[in-house]
Amino acid sequence: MMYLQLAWRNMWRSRRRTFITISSIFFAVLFAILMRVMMIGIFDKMIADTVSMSTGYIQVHHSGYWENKSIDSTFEENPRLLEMLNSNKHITAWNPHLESFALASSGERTKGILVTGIDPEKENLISRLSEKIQSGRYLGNKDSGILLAQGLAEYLNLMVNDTVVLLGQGYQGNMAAGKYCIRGIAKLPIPQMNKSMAWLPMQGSRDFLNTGARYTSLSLMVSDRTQVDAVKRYLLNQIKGMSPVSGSGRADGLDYEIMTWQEMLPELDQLFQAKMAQNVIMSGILYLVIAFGIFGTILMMLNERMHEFGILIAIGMKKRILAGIVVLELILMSLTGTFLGIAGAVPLVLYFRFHPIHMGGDWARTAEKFNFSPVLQPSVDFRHFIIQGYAVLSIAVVLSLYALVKINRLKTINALNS
Amino acid sequence: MLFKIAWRNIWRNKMRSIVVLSSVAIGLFAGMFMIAFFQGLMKQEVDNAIETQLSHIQLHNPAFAEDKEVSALIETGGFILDQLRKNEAVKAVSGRVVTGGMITSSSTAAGVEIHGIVSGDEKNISSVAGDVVEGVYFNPGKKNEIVIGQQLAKKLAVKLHSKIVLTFQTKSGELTAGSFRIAGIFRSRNSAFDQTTVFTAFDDLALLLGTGKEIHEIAVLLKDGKQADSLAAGFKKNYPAVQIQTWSEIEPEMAMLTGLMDQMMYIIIGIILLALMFGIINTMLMAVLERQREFGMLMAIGMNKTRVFFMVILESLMLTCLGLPAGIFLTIGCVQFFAKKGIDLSAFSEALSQLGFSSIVYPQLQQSMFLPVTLMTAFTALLSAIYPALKALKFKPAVAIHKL
Amino acid sequence: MKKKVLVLCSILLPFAIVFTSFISDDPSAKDIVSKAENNAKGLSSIMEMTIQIVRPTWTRSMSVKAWSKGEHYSLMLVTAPAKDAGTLFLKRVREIWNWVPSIERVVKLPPSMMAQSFMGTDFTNDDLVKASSRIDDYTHRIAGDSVIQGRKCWKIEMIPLPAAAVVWSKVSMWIDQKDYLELRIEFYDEDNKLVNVLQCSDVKTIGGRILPCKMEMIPAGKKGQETVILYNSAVFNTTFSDDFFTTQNMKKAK
Repeated sequence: MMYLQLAWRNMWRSRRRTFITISSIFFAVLFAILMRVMMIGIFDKMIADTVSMSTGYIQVHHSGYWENKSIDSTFEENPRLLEMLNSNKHITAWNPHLESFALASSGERTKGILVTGIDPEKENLISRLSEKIQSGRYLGNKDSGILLAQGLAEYLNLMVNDTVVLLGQGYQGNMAAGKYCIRGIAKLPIPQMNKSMAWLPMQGSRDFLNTGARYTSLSLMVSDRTQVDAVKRYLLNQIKGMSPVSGSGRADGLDYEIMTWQEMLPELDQLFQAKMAQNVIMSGILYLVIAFGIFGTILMMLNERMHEFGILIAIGMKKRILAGIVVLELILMSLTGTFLGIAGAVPLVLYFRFHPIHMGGDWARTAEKFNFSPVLQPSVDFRHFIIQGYAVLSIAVVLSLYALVKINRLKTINALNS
Repeated sequence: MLFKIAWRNIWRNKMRSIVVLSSVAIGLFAGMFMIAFFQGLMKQEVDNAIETQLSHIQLHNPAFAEDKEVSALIETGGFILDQLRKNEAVKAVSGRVVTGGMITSSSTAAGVEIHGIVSGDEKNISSVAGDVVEGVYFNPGKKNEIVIGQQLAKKLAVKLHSKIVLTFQTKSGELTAGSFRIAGIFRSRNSAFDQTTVFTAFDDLALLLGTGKEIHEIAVLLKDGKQADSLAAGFKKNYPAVQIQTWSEIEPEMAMLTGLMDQMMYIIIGIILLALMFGIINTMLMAVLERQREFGMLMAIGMNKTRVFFMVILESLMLTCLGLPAGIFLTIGCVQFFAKKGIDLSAFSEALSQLGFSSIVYPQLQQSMFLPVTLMTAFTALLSAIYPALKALKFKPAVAIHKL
Repeated sequence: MKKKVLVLCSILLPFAIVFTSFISDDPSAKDIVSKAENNAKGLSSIMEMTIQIVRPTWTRSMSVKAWSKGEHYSLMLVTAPAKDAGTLFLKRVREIWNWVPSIERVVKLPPSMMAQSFMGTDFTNDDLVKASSRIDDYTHRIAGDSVIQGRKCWKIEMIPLPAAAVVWSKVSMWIDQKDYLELRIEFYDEDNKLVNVLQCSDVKTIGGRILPCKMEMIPAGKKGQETVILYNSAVFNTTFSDDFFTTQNMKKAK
């Protein structure tokens, strides 16, 4: 206890010294947090933007659908299911699809395409499809028309207000055939998709395929990437007792399959894992710089107090105890610096969260086409703050132990004379 | 004379000087290594895509891009191929016949893109040959072999040496089919590619297509990938009837992701430099505090404040000048070491190592980066010295002398 | 002397008769298959049939009227259910066109659709077009006799030629010895696993010929799933001009 008191008093004897030491830890923590949340924020966004344009974070299907993508693996529109989605606070949006492979034809030209029945409003919330319209207009909910991807329209030599014919395999062996007026043409940034996609309002797709009120998939967006697994577990629990097909005799919910973006987009997951690994290395480099900064401060502080140490030892204080007190001081200062650093990081990170850094130039324009808003925005996951704070604290504490070494090696005469 | 004093001051307290010097060196190292790491990263990601399927430049008949029509062959394709082979900047070329079709096994069918290739050429340009996990990448002399991706093999429920049938349209528009035996199964990093691309021998496919020696696609691998744009422009002039695309035009998503990396890099470097700055400021502040008595004495014997200020600045300058070369050596040493050995990312990520792909990054430093980073670090170091130097001036000589 | 020759001949003659009849009565496996195949396709005809798609959870039935000339030209009209009535398929050699009344367009099926199922059945579009020939693309061997549906059949084992564009490693065919009817065909993959079975039954006289009037395509390993084709009536040896099988003429078919 007395040591603590001594340590505390020592700290306040030279305010300047203490402040300098604390501030070195403070800044270290600040920067460590800043870098980490920036990196994580960028990765989060990369994933969010990619999934919003494709699969969503989670998808609900009839079991087996993802493998065989057959129109017969559809599931019924279940109000209980939808209500469950609406009530979960982590699910920020959901988007139904009724998709199938079909033949699009005009004149002599025929092409195999993917036609998707969408809820125009919901779809727009997630993938911002209406912003991609180049000519014509977006679909309305009760629209009888169709939206084509630009590459497809060009191949078929069609423009807005022209008619396109769709032919395909419908539900339960029915033939699917329909004529549609092109309401609008949308340009997708990925060339493959741009050449082979078309969208119908949900009812239009249901009529085409003769499915009745069914979906091939429900895409879900969640508030936070880290919530994905939790939401999936929640859904798996809740669907016990729901059946995707009435009268199928199964009520154990196993006829649904719920897939996360990692399962549906393994490449993206792989990219993400690689980025996280890279993050480790980059953080390591930052820690190196930070460590030197802190060490320098500690070293200087010890140097400055050499005379003081010399006197204390000369009058009889044991080196061990002196060293212990000094280390205690350093630890106290490190703790203070860490807390202040975390506290100080909060407003800084929040600021960047709401005023993200805008990127400009060519890259920004290309990015926008991919639905990537060209901004760099940090994550506000508080866990990162704590972890980084802890990391820097650990570094500081380890470096503080140098004081033990220095004091033990002290030659009293030299110390007195410094 | 200020110089002499500053210089001697540095060596009077070795510990302090070494710490500041090292901070500068480490700061420089951090910045440069980070950049080298990023460069290596980007190269790895881009190279991956380029080696698997894109190559640096691709040439097609303009009509081919529309819908991969069999008749859209490159005019004078063989001639262009030979010319490109002789081009100094070109590392490898490969001429291919490409068509869309169906692959059928006894259990199911799938739509695929069929590449008819000359295995000798293709080996030099595509990493698929090295990605073969079962079987071989074509046996010389054997006919009607096919190499497919592992995912596709699973989907079709076939294995090595199984027979499959490829169905597609000939040049004259008729439907034709041919049976092929699986000689090899490959696994690349791009599972979509694995599922939709199959490889057969050029001659086998051309025979069925009825295209003779003509070519649909010429892929070019350059010695220096960064020349892709300029070389493509050159080719456009030489072969105006041919559609010439660089990899970033064929797959713009790739270019976009690398652009993102670039932007990120600036932010990261910025943070590192800031950390460096504060680290140095604190160290120097502490040093100044430690030297209170010394400054007090200097001022008492008549050194004016301006001189003291400059003396401190000079000391920092000298330490920086000593630290920078140290940092440069450290950087070069580390980069060279890792450039050969590579940094294995999967050591840092359990998930990555489970995927089974080696994710090795080879840091690369561009010469052009040396100067800017060095200057930035030097600038940061000097800037950091100003505040402590100003602080030094605030000491009252009388008080300072009596400082204990 | 004369007497001896006469005796010799009279002893040998029965053997000779039996012997020659023995050789001439036993056709080669390839001949058997040729005859059977030509029997099944052969001439021109107008047929009315019912196609049933059977699945574990649902069944669908269609009525189809088909005009064929040889094996290369055919026109199929869906007559029931009302929703699909008026839909036409035209096959010319290896190409297929589709006319759907509700969209009033003729659409040619692109190669990418060839492996897709024909009208939702267990037959693919490719099966219709029959790119490979059971006669030319296989080697044939008689592997014994069996009795199917009370009829004595040859069991013929067919192995595809190495260059043949056929996914099967073996096809077994049971051909009725009296009327050369293909009663059962089994399709095997390279692991010798049975993949598909084509079963023909209900042999009747129809349109003046003897044919099995019920054809079932049963995918092995998929329980409760099959496609059944029932021939309700047929008229053979009608003459058609080639013009009948054109896209222009398609819409006039009734």
